[in-house]
Amino acid sequence: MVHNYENDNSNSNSNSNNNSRNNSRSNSLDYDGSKDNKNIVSSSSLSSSSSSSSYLTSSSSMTSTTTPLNDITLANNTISFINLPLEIIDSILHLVGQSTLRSASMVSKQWNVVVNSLWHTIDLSKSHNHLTHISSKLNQLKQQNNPTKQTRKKEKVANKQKKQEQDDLYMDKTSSDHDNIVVTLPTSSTPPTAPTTTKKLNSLESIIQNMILNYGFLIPGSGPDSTSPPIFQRQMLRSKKVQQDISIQLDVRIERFFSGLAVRYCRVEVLDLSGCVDMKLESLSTLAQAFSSTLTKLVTRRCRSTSMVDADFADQVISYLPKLETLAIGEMPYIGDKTIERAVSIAPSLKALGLGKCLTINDQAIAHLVPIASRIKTIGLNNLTQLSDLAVRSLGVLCQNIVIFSISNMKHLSSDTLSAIALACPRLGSFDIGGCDNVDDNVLEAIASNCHQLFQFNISKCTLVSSHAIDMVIQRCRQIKILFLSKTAVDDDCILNAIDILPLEILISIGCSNLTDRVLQSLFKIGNERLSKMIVSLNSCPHISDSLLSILQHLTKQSNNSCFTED
Amino acid sequence: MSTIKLESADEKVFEVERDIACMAVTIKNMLEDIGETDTAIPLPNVTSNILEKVLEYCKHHKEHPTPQQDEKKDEKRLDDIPPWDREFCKVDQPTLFELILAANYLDIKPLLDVTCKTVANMIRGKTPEEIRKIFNIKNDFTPEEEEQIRKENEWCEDKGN
Repeated sequence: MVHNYENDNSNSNSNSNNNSRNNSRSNSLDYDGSKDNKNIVSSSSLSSSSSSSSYLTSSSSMTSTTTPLNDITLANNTISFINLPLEIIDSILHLVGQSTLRSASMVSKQWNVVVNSLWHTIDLSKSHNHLTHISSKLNQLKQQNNPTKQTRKKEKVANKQKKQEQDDLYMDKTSSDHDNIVVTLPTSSTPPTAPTTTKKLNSLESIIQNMILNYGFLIPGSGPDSTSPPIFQRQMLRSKKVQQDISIQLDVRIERFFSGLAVRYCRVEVLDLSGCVDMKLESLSTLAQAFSSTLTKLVTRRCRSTSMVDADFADQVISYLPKLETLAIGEMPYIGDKTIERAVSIAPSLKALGLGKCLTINDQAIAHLVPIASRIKTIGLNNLTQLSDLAVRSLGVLCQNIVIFSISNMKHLSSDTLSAIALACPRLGSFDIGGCDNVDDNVLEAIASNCHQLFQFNISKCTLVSSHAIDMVIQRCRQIKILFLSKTAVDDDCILNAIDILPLEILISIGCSNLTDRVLQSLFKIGNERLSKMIVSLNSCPHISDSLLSILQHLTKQSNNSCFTED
Repeated sequence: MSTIKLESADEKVFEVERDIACMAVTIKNMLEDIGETDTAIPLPNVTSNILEKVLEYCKHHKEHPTPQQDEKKDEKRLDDIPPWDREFCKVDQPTLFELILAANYLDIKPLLDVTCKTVANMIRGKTPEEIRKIFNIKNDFTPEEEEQIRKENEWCEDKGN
């Protein structure tokens, strides 16, 4: 049982990690470029030095058309998955997601080496309980504690030295310590004091319990003397010093975690770090360099560390990513025109950008996108009220191939601009103009006349539009599957038409005062089978009765919130 | 209808319609290089039983061309294997893997796609132990190594919230 993280990590570095790296670096994948897996062509930079394991040598021989293909078959008699040429294993693994990659990497040593060397997706966006996501919670708790900045700083310095000693101290704990920590947890509760303190302690405790159970995290001991084993006591969490300690250990742990990823994998194409709020720029830079030759999609939404400043993000992250096609940096508070300019100049395939809620994106940043407007497929500018109507218009009318255009809550955009965009973008599939105050019937007319590929449409909170205009869009854009009409003037006939003629999958129409029970009655008529595949919400409509709503809820698919919060 | 001859690794000669053989881009390119010929084209990497299967696939798809797939469709979809192809891929593992190798060598993209998807379906969503069972693989990790890798991979466990 390995439970000390420091130990843990050094083990992994000396054993499997290094192994996999060496091997992956020698996976030459040097097949001729005529084959169609574009992802592998880029691997030429990982040129072969020497192939240490036999399957690698045999697989590289497969790539030449003059070498007999049956070498492996003849040699092994039966051919197995893991003996297939690497480029084939790679294309098979591209058909599965990271949870299957995880299983595959745990099958055997050989599988581990091969799968790690071809690992293509790191998506941490849903790892809410992972250590990369909990440091901000911890920081929030610490701020509630409200110590003056100076004392905190002092503590930080002191603890850094302290930590070193502790690391040495707890280097080789035995498994009984580990059990101790876990077992003592539930029994060592303290009498409740002020409610906020209790709440805080509870949160801290759950975070720490999580870390102990999952990562072998050790709470620095505060027993009778410095050599006593670190037995967890809830009371201990009240100490600011301990909280600080935990926070520092956590930061170190997070950095190690990311550098571990950079060591273990080398051909990652998709990196989604949404919500790793305190990830440092340095860690991100390490990953960007490690995956430089393969990364096509980078998502760092809500990575709010103060180290993520515009110029450094451009220099130390974006500069390493020439293959970038998708860049989603929404809700990063310091990102601006330098990042955008760099991405446009370094990544010739860039075609999707998510900038929602980036407070420092300005007109200049948007202007950098104008030269590449015709190849943009997706752009998200939600909530960027600092952009001028003119800047959005100048870009929008040039995005003739755009498929997904999200500009929700841009309250100030003019009806003219929105109409001009709709008229310029015939391939629009998803148009999100919810919360744009100036959306009127003219905009919907433009959409109805030009955007016939539309499959997702959001005009929630657009109070100026008439039900007639909404109906016009429904009549003309027959591919709409997802429709958001909350707080609009939409009426019964309109919804009835939508149910009748659209392949609707999601209908969100909350708080619409023109809707009545008639809508529900006709919804019930479309049959349980179709209903059970639909997500429908008609809540808070004053003329719709609650009893019918609860029946509707039983008959329709239950939504997970993400459907509503998607851009 | 003009025909050509193909010779398998075990020296069996197959006479097939030129159009069918040319679904294999490798053969098409060879024919373009050498021009008209009566001699059998040697395919030293493909045994006769596999070549027979491959030609069966090409023949079927020549006669039943599949409509062009919508480009927008997600390529990761694994459940879109046409019924005939699904049946075609119901073979033992060594045959399936040999078909993959042959499709790769002969450059028959639809066959390569469908065989790769079949293999991907075999491992998709499975636990390590299930994958070991499917491919008859021995777990050669020590318990410590296994724990180590489990920890390394903890981040990609779906915790459901």
